[in-house]
Amino acid sequence: MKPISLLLVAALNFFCLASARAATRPRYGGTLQMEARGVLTSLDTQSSDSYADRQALRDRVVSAVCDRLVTLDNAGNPHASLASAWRSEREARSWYFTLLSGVLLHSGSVLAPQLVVTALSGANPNWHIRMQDGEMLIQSDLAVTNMLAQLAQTRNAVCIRGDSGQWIGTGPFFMADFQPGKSIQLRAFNDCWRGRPFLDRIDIEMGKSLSEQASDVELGRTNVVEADPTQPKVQSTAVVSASAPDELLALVFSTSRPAAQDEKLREAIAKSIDRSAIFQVLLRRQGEPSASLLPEWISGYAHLFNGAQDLAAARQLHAELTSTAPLSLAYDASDAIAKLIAERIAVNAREAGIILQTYGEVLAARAPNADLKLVRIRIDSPDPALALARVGEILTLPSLQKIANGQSIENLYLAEREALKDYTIIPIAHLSEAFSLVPNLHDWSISSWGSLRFDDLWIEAAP
Amino acid sequence: MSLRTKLLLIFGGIVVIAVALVSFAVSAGAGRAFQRLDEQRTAALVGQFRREFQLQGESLAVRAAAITNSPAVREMAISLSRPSADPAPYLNLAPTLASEQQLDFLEILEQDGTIISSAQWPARFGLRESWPTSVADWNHQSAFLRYEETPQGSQLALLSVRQFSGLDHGFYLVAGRKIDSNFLRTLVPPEGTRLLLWQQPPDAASGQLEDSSGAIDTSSDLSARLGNIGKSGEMTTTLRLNHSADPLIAHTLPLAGRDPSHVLATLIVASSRRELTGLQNNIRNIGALIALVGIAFSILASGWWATRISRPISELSDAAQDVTGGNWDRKVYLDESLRENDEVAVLIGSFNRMTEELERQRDRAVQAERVAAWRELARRLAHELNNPLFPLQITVENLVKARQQDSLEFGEIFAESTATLQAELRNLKAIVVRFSDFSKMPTPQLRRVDLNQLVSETARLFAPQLAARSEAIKLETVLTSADARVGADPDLLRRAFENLVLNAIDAMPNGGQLTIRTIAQSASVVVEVCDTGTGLTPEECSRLFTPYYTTKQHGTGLGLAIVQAVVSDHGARISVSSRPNVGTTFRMEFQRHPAIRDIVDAGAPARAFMRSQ
Repeated sequence: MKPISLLLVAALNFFCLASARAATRPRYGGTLQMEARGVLTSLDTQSSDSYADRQALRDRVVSAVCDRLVTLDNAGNPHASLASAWRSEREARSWYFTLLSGVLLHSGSVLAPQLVVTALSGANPNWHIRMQDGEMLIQSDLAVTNMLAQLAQTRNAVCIRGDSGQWIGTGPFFMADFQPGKSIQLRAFNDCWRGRPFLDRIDIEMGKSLSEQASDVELGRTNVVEADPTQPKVQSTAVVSASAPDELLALVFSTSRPAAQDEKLREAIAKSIDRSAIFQVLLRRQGEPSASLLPEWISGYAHLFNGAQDLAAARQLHAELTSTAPLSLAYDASDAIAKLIAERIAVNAREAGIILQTYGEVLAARAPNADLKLVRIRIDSPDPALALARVGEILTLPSLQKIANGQSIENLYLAEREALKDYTIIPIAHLSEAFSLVPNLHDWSISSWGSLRFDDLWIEAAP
Repeated sequence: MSLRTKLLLIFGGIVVIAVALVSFAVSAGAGRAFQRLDEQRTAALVGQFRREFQLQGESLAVRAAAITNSPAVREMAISLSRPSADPAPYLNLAPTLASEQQLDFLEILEQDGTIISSAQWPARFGLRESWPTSVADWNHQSAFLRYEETPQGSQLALLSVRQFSGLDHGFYLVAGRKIDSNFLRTLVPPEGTRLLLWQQPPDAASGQLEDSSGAIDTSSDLSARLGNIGKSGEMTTTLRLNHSADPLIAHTLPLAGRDPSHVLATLIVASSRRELTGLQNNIRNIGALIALVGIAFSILASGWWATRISRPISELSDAAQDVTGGNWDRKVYLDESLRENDEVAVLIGSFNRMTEELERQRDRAVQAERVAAWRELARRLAHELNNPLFPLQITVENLVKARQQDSLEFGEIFAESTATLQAELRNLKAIVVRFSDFSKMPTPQLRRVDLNQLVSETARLFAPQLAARSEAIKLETVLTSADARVGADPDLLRRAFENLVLNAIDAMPNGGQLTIRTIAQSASVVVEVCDTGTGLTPEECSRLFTPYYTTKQHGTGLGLAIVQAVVSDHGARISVSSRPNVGTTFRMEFQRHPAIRDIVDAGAPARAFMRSQ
């Protein structure tokens, strides 16, 4: 081969290789169109929300706008964020954090350590937080062994209220627009201490049903939608990304209502539920059937709770009841899966002789006008004690709310078993959060507990 | 009841009865016409329902067959025929196909009846339905009714079942439509007719009634009745949906499922009775109006006729009463409106002629009575005068004979004869005085007289005479303790009482009981003189007060006439009651008129007052 030919071949190879590398290399610019079922009508930092979809949306927006002192990777290991270093003393009752300096807020001012102290003190009234010798000192009367996991929670993000009520933080995006109940617009923060994100903008449309989202992604109107795990993939080229089962689906009795007072009735309903059919048919084997509050991947003991259907026992219990009045079962009217599962529970209960009348409504944590309700609770921490306490907080279970961190798994199991023994709460399953993505969206990552990282996302330019 | 009232009742009654009969006949005719129309409407609607039912069934069968031949179902059948097949992906197949085929019910079942997918209740997957497996070949069966379970409870459905197979695996497909208000809406009932559907699902505590506009609230009584009607087969009855609603004529058609003996629902063809009721009300109102007009007309007519007929009759009645009262010259004048040949005119003429004849008869009777009285007077006078004349004649003849014989006893005879002559002359004079007294009764000089006292004095006067009689007469006075004073002339009254006592004594020749009684009343005082004598016949009673009439051999017939004259001059009344061989009672009733006392106290004559009454 002639030298000139060799040169031409080498140049061609280089060009081809360069082109190939350019296709996978992150690119700045572009707008991420995202849709969600959840609806935010106000910007508050409430962390205990029985609406899993609303809580998930709030957590994700807060994560994009505000930073936390530490973050957790997918394995649950802590990583430095606003705190560059940390140490603990006095058997984890005193924690010292070295804060980054020169971090700019979206307002352009430097994040003062005192702002961090104020933000964290507001979210953790039991902690004593102050600056000491250039470090931030967090002191607690009790040992806080899972301090880093707690600080990695969205509720401990360092957020400041702006003049118009919007969140101001140090994250890669700032809130450019908020239309309550409709849309949120986030824009790239060029002076982010972590560096500018690849995306220029994130537009989030709120209140979109799963079928609307499926239709929109099919028509190319959006880049990311929440996927219905029970439905076939909406687009042959779409990518489905799912978290570990991080949503608890459970029946909750309103014990203030006379019809739900009888423990035998509650037990009969619990024993009539066919979790296997729900898991295999309605959930298409997504998530996991469960009779425990925490999923197996967090607690490791979920399999100890017996969730098998026992119709004979249910019928026997029902036969012993003195009153057989129909019960009302409420579910989130905007949640198609919840509707199916509620109706299946009603079918199972009917086999045991119990009449459940299902109806959809906008649920509060404990809907007073239904005898029992089907709720979805988002578990936002891989730490079992934090996760259990959060469930206890949302379901107002005092025994779980008082769980101290550092409890052994055995103690957590006993506490959960105690909380479930009167059948006022009947876990059904744990569901995964799934997203359908367009193929040109890159570096999408979702943690086991559903946390997203928007600053790594980038969109491939259209050919 | 007056003639006018009778005429009014007769005329009004005839009008009302006639109108009522006509109204009843028209109303009954209208009712029968409505009933025939209702039967025709019902038959048409039932026929329409049966046709629609059949069409819907055929449509269901076609759609079910189309679904079983659809690629999605074929793919499912093949997929699930494989070992360890997962039916979960087909959970939403039935809802999707039901939506495409516009079906309310669609279920896909395994060959053992296990539900693969259900449109009406997706959560029922995995449950087993046994009833489809009871029929070997569904593909040649027509549609039928059945209650299908849904989350909202059982609902009546028209179902069509088809069987299909995959590789070596059989499946059932159950397609259906709700039989509810939407189904009823496809039927167009005739005007005035409603189509109702009564359902009583097996798992429901009570049934539900609905029409094309939706469910209808029913009372528990009506629900129970409708439930029983469904069991009674095809029938016609009357229903009232609520208390305020109009009654409906309801023709019921039981709807059975595959088992003809098991009634699932009842179709009710209901016709409002409003039109019929309205027409009958109109007829009744018109009848009532006509009756009112008729009654008004009858009032006017009866008034006119009554005026035309009853006024002369009323005048005749008044005239008759006047005649009865003694006014015999009363005449009734003929109304100009009456024709001469009118019965009433003839009657009036006859009446007037009768009164004229009566007047003539009375005049003749008066004349005859006057002649008779004169004759009686002459006879009495002759008889009375004859009695003393005969001794006078004998005495004078004895005296003449003695004078002619010149006897020595002449002086003695003369003395006796003159004594006899004087005695007889006194008798004659007394007779003349009595007749004279009767002819000129004195005017009563009224004073305050106590009748008790007057009766007692009279009794005392006769007591010795009665005691001296051989045949004893017991005299008893029964006097009232109340005030017995009246205005009267005591002398005349005493004379009257004496006459009555003498009369009673004469009536008791064999002795007896004589009772004089005074009775005080509020406005009068009564004096009764009772004896237990021979008594009188009614004829004698009627002539008792006639002057010169006597039942006694030597009576003048003036005593009781004088008594009646005295009593009458006092404005009092006298009556007699008597029974032969029992006794006689004379009853005198004296008014104690205050004006009389006033007049008496003033000394004015009572007769003047009495004449003014």
